[in-house]
Amino acid sequence: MAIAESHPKLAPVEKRHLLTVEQMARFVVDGYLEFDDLIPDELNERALGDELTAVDDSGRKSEYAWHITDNKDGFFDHSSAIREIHELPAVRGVLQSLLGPGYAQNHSALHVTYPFQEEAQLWHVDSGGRRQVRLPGIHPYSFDILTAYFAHDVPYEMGPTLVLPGSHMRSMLGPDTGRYKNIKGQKRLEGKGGRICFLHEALWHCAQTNETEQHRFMFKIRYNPRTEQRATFNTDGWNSPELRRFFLINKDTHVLTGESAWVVGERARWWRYLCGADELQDPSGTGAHGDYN
Amino acid sequence: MHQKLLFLNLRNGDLNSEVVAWALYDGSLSEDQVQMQAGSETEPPYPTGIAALRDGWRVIQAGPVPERMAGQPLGGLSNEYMLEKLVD
Repeated sequence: MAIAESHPKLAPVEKRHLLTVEQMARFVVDGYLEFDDLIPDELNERALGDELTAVDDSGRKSEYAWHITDNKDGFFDHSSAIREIHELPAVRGVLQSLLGPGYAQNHSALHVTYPFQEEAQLWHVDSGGRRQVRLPGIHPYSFDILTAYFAHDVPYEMGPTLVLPGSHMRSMLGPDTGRYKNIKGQKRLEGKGGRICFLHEALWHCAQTNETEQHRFMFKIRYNPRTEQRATFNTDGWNSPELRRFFLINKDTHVLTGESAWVVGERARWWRYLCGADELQDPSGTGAHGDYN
Repeated sequence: MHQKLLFLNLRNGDLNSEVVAWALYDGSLSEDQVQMQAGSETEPPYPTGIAALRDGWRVIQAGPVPERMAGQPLGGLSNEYMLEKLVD
């Protein structure tokens, strides 16, 4: 693991760029957020132009592979468009909401799926999985964020990144998910050019096969928090009846093999932590507190 | 003879419940043939575990009943059955 780089020059964003409670609640349930309208077309076109220079007939050029971990001059430094995209107030607002101010960039990489590539990546979790699995002493609710940016249209058949919504609630080491192949609820992050997704570090994901004659690019950055991830977004209305109803309605969302009761309780505890609220109270001692479940 | 392995994860502990995850490893395929890939299918090969048994699959391992302990993290998918078929 490389030592993270921070960006002290970037001031915190204004409140209007922060995630709302509705968006944050969606992240808690799904483990990711996707946006189609944060990045101007001009930047997407420049980024795609840069990405096309990073490959030739033999594949991705080695100098544009990983940034920081094994290549200090990777694609992030090569492309001013990529840097500008990730410094847009709208993008930084999402990152700050999820990670808190002063977040740090850990590493980045230009991922390429080649024309007519028949083999998908294995399901995996980046860098070993939830922090509580990797390192004792790390707060259980601390999490990194992975961004997945698509400069060009990525239809289903081109193989946009596959994710398993809700899998961020599971503690798995990275390679252990390789046994699984197809899972109900799996979702390809297909969409228009300029789409950017923000994934919880523990979300299961993998690259897909590419049935087209074009390269599929996805630029990824892993970000680390540098503060406690509490009340880092626009928490107005966090305890409203609408939010409680949202969690109630989604009680069984993404629950695959009978873990609903565990997930509901853990979501409620995590939500209160994220919002800066006190621990759940259960004066009856029965567990039947009815808060979000 | 070649072994085909089918992993099924079911909605609950009943073998007659819905298949929610599936993976096929086919020993009859040659090295240059592509095995089942992650994300390659949207519908399971059988609606339930029992339906797979009716089609001749043999259960060779069943996952243990999960222990849901307070304070313990949630792990992988539960209710897993490993099934095999022997083919030429």
